[in-house]
Amino acid sequence: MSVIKSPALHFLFIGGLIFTVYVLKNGNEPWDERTQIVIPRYRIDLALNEFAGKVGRQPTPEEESNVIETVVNQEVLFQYALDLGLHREKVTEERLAQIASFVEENPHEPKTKSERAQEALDLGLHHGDMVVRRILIDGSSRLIRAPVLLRIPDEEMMEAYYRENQDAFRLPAETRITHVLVNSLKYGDGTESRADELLNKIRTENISPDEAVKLEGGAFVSPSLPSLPDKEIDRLFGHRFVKNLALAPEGEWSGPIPSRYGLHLVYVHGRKEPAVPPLEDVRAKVRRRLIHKLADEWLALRLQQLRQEYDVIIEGAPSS
Amino acid sequence: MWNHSRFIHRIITTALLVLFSTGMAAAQESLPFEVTEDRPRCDNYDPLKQPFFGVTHLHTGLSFDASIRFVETTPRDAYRFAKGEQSQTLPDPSGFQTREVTIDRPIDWGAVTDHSELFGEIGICKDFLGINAPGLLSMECRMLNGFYWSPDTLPVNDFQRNLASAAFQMLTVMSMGPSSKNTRMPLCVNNPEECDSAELALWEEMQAAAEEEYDRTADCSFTTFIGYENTSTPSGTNWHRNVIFRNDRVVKTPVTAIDMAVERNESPTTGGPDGVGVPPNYFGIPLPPPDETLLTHPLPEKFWAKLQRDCLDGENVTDGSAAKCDLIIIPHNSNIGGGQPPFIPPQWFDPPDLEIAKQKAKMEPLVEIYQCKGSSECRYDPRFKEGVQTTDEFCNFELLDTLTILSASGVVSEEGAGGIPPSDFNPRSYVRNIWKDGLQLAQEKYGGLNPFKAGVVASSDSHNTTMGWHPENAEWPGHLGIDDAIPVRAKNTIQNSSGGHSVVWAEENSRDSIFEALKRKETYGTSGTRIVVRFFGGWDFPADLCSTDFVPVGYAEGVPMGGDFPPRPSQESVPRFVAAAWMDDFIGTPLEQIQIIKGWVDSEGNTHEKVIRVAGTKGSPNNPQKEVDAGCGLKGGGFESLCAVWEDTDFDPSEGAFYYARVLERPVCRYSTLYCMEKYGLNPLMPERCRQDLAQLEQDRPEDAVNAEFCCNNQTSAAIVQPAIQERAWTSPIWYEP
Repeated sequence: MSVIKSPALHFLFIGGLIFTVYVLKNGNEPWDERTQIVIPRYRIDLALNEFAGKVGRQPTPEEESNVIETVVNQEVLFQYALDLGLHREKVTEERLAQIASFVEENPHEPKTKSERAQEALDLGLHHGDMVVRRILIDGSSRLIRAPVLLRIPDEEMMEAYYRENQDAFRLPAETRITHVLVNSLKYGDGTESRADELLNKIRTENISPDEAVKLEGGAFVSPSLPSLPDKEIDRLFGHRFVKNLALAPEGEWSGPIPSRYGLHLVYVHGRKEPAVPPLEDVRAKVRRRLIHKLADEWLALRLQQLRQEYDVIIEGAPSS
Repeated sequence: MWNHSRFIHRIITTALLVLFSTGMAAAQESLPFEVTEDRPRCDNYDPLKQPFFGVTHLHTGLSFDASIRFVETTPRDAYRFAKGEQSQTLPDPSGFQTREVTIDRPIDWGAVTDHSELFGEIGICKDFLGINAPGLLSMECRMLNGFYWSPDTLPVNDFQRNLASAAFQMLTVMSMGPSSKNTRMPLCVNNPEECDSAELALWEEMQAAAEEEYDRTADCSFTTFIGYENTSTPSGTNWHRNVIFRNDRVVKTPVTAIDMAVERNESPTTGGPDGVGVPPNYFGIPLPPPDETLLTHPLPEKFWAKLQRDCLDGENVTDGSAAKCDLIIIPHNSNIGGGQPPFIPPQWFDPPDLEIAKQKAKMEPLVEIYQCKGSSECRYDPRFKEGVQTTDEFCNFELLDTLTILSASGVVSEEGAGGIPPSDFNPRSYVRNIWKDGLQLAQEKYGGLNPFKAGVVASSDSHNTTMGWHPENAEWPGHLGIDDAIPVRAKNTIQNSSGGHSVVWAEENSRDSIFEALKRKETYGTSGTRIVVRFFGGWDFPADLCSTDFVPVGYAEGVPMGGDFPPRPSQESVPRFVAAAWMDDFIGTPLEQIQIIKGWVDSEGNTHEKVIRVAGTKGSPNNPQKEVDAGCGLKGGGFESLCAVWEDTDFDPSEGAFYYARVLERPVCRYSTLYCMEKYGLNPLMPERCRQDLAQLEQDRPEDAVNAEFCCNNQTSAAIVQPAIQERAWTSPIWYEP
């Protein structure tokens, strides 16, 4: 079942549908007109050298294949952008016209931008121009991702994603305590003995938390606190306190537990385990993450499809 | 039909407003702060207040000077980083996005303050309008997007950094001249409508990010504030100010440096002497005295007045859910304000009249005392054995060897090969002196009104999106993208600090509660650790306060940090203070001492200062390096907590005064020391050995030696770097006005 519900499969299906329509419209032509993508070996070498330069060693075979994959994907996206006609976009034409004028014998000759752009394409200048490449590669990957980003995922998909990624949305553990602070600024060297004495009194006289807090003043941190996550307890008491609080049992007095302020006698009312909130509480966040994930998956899948549609040839022998 | 629907709309709006106001009024009952937001109060609410650690100054990839350095982030990334929800990817020294960093401890609140002047251009260049506008091909966009630069096409390191610096100069040259000639970039001058839309789209995105990451539930786990930085830099001087809004009702359009112009430049496309140009006083020629510069330089009062109209008077406010717009403004980096005498750092010019003095005091209740670009508290330079209007040796802390913000930003080459003598700094380059002058101005010029009565925050000003993360170790990733990806690589990068926290004492972690704490200055700053400090002043406090529950007493019978002494109850009453501090037990560096610093003005208008150690031990003023061993271990101990009650026995009721607390930790190795040890095997704590090892490194690994050139610097070097520092906290002052 989960395979049938897989978003990737849905997009594969949509892609297949588009492809079928294309084939029906154009007959068998695509099989006869497969585009070749020729990647000069030096592009791969350059990328591998950069990698080595950056990490200070040669890539492992796995890393090497990742680098090559990235280069090939970029080339495929570049070619796909050309097939989609993105080079006819105003912004790309402007740049193409501009680079054509760099190499023209008479750059002042009156020509339209489109004419100049076409000249650049005829000369193959677009293959080497970083700006055109960037616009086209960004453009085609954006176009592939865009329909997914605009989608509102259905409820079932949201729930499935939420189920599978609960950790990312989990609420932290919480603890609710009442505490009595024996203030080290007040008691100095006598802090420990005062804390022991008070704890003994509370235990032997079975003093309730509400009454116990009256035994010392409520200096620095409110004696009765709501249920709080560790981060908040850390902020209020300091780091050591949080570490030690984890060991204190529920429903009884513990201590003394040191904090930045002195020693605390602590009553743990209860703990909440890390919990996953209802989807409703985090819906917007879940949707945002889901559609980006879907868009990434769709891009990866579409790239695989595209690579089947082109003949990718790496030209030239690997450098030694 | 049209009138009918409009009528209904009005009725509904009015009814909603009435309901909202009634709800607000009900919510307001018994709360110590004004409620402008309709939201539940926090479960963790404490009328005696809690410390919340936050950020008042931070940039993301939406700031032009971050984007040109390959920082590719958004405000959402910053907030999520601060909450500990996501790591952050930063450019490495080659420009690849390979450095991944994570905050060690989440913080409680923060504001992203991207530079507002180029919002329109950035909006176009980052395609906020989604229209692939031809402007994307403009030179401005090439620069803002890193020249469409790709790491695999250019040689590494300095070339890219130089490109970024060149881009910085070209992108800011429009605002380098006298402010009356400020304009947007040609990209925007030529496409004003598109640029306005792009600016709006970007500003709306900043608001949306803040809204999305603000916890409006009773858990109150994180608070965001919408903000931006006004980046007025005429002639390379620093008029920069952060604007922080109280809630989600903010100005529709940021009020920027361009709005501070004395007169608008009506022909921005005309170059030459009457158009855009670099003034003769740029590049080091002394600037004219303040009275003259005021004629040609920007007018902050125009900035305040427009924010007053647009926000406080509600004339140009977004449709947020809150009841009203409110804001505060925070100037920063007086230390690099361009304050070579007689030039006063322009954030601290004498206001020309009483009305403007009042405006300044009202709009700018805080000042940033410390950030990545050094300390602005005070300056004592051990190389000259003198200070800027001080002999306080603890002012030898995170000093920069520059007078201008451009040098510290990695833009122009550094000044002062042998360090700049303290006498070259205008006293108002430092906050303590500004506070002293405020007392003097109140007494002599404004009939008792102190225009410089600002409380304290500290922040990072990081352009790396790393909100609230200030590790004093080799993990610190720099603060300016590729420029200081190797933080020790140059003189002006190794002098940068790791940044600090703005801390508020507030009832709860919500916008209204924190904002009012900022406004009433119940704040302190730290240099990066999370020291907790309480400071109260009052008449005739009991001398044994430390051994009692002094917090309720402090509030009931005195005032907290940032407050004003109430009227003196009797001729015999004396000002007493209680100052307490607790160490950051996550990091574990013990405290050394608490000092109370008093500044005052005498009847003849002369200002004075006094530093009193009220708790702890003396330490090694001016040379913390003596207190750590060669492996960075601390020699001797310190204190987990300190507390003292101090009485000002020299108090003269006729003299205006301020008192603030400074808490010093015991010395630790600076991040640069740990970085140089870890990456290059160089130990700045052993100067002779360090130099020998550096010479060897030049032989063995010249590519590393280039970046390690300043590793052996110390506090005797031409470029001062303290191998060991004392982390600290500064509280807002408590003021006494006769």
